[in-house]
Amino acid sequence: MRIASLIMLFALMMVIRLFKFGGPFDDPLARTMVGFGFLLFAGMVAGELVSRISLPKITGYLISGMICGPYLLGLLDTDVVERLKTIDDLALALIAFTAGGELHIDRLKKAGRAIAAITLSQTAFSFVIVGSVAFLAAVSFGRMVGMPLLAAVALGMYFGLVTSANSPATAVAVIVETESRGYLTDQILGVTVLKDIVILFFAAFILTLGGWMTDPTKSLEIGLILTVLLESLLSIVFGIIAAALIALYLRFIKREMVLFVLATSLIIVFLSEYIHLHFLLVCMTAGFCIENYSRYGDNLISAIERTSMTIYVIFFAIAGASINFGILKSIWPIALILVVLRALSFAGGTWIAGVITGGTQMVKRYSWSGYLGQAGISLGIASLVLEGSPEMGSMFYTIVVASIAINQIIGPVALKFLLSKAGETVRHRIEENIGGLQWQ
Amino acid sequence: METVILILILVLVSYMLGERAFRVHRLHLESILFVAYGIEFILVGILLGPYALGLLSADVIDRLEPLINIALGWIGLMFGFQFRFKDLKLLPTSNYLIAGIESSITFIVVLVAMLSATMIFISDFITPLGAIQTALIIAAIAMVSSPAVIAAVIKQVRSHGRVSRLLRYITGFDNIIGVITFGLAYPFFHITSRASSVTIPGWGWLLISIAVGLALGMLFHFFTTPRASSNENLMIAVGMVALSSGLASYLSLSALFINLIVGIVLCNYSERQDRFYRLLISAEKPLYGVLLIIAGALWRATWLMAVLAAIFILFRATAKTLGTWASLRNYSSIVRNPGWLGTALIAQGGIALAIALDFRFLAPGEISNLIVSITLTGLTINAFVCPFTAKHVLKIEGEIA
Repeated sequence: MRIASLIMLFALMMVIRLFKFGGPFDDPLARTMVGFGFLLFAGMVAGELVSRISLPKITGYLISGMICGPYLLGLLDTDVVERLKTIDDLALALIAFTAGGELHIDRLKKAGRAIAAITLSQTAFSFVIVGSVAFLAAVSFGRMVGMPLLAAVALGMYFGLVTSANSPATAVAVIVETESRGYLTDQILGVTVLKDIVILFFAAFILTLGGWMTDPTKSLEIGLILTVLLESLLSIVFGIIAAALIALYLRFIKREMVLFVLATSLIIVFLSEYIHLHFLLVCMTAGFCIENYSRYGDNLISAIERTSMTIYVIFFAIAGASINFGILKSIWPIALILVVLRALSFAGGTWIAGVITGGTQMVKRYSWSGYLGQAGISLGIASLVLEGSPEMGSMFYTIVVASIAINQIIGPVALKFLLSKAGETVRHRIEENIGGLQWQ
Repeated sequence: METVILILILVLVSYMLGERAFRVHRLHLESILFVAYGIEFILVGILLGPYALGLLSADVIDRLEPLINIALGWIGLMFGFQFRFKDLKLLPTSNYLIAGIESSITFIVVLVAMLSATMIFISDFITPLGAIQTALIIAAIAMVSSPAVIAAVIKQVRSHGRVSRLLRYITGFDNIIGVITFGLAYPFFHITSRASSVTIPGWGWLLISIAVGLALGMLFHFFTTPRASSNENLMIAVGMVALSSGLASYLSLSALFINLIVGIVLCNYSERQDRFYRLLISAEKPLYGVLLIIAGALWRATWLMAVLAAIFILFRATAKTLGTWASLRNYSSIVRNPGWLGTALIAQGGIALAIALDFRFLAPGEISNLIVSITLTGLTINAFVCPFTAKHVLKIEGEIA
């Protein structure tokens, strides 16, 4: 019946789209509210449908966004999608809180060596392999358009940089949905979060160097790297302060937790932007400190999890609605090559790290598939490149956006299958327990 | 963004202060009501408004329209959930008759008084149609009583008996009559009814309001299941309110009224919705806080407002007293002193403010701002007076131990 109701809501959205009443009815805020409500229902039903064929629910959320978005059915126009993107930061802040809260020191200690090795190895492999191929391609095709050699090197570095990044949001969403627990889960979450921090520092260096390479008349701004370092350090300090304040609230008041968590996230996002800090790092640090250094970690995480479904549906549905199928259609072969290269470099990097740290076969052979999700940080870097050098940046941005679209579709599916294969999902734990009882 | 953050911080702080103060049981009844009925939120709103900091200007408030519409929709949905016909059938018919007669008399008296007042005091900048609209909206607001104040007084003085129960029923029923009257009256002044491009008559908009509420209620019914987790329920509730309030806003109809119908349909069609209702109720106080802050920022102290508010308060109190007395004439066995009972009904609750704000966003302008100011003034004064009058009524009826 939910599907039938959703079809009726579809019809309603079509009516709104077709009968653009105009005049007093053409209120973009009202259309945004309707779009927001509709996306929640569409995402919920799509999530249920795909979970029946063992796909992660977030794939359903993405698909619902793609179908309803401006590039397919157009039930939500670009204006509505852009307005809804203002919710993105709130969603990301909550996801970052969860990511931080999922990192347990004692469990990290066990997987710490492997996490560090995989992070470095994957980053190095993808940067070198993807960067080299992109550089060679740029040199080959660049001759025709007269691209200088240094600019080709910069382009190679940019591609290497963006492909190294992962998507903590995807990892957290799949882990929360499947309620996974275990060594591989800790490792995937640890690598994804750590890599985001590493990429943040790395990006400051590469972007500065790349900016100078594409335009050697500019001076090399070393100060930018120091600024990023300082901002990151301050973000961690701010995260610790936020954790202390949250812990005080949890100790003395502990009421209206959902409202409190939402308000706190918004305040952190706002203040971080205001004083130029990285709100994701602030929220991750806060979540990590509360989980590991206070007695209130469970209270915080359970309050966030009460809103998680709404947050994930809207975040991934908007991400789906933002996938530009026009661009994807025009350059999908190049994007696909980038996706394959990235996957191969991750596989290689993970295998080497596994060999060095004495990892299991599961880690060495299959765990690379848990890192395919790609989103926010890659898009952010691509936007900065576009801003810095519009000519070269526009082509780069288009390819990156198209490859992110593909990775966002395959990433969650691959991660869910990996966690199932490793037997770390709640379903496997229950089956094991039931099996154990029968055997007894 | 800055304003939203500021409001969030203030709502959070005032809410926490309110909660802390409310838990101090040694406070006197009136002091508790002072905190419980959100005067601190109103003060925060006034502080943020043009009289002090000027952060919540009319432009900023207009930008907050989606947030306010969602708050109004949530209140409407929550309110509609209280009207399960199966439960309502259990109450004696006399309760409905008493509440119906009392609120009808209040409506007529306040309508005539406010119509006369607007014609006398603001005839220069209001059309006759505008005067009728203003009087109708204020009269609908006047019908509303506050079950929360009565419940708090009854709890505080530990009264029990037929009058205590009757007061609870009447105040609860007054609310729905007020919202329905507003929902029925507003479409006749719908913005596009006066525009040349769309020629849907007032009754057409009324039918559209009801049809949209019923249709959405039926559609949402299939999404709400007793099996749903709290996570899923929250998403369904947010989705429902956003969609129906957005649609109401898109059609320039009342979000409060449409969501009320959605709530009524849902609670009557779906069984075992207690968990869903509890979820809706959990957001009541913060949402009420937001509305009070917005109303506080919209409040304007002018002589005209003071005169109209005085007329409103006096005629409303008189009408409530008269109305209750008239309605109780056939039920003398229930109440010993029917002449006084109406004085216990003068407190106005959040629904009165919700109606005023709903109208403010449907028809923005000086007149709707004036209505918000009158309602807020009445709400504040009545919140101070009602605990005394209600206590007095319960005392003379012999229901205080």
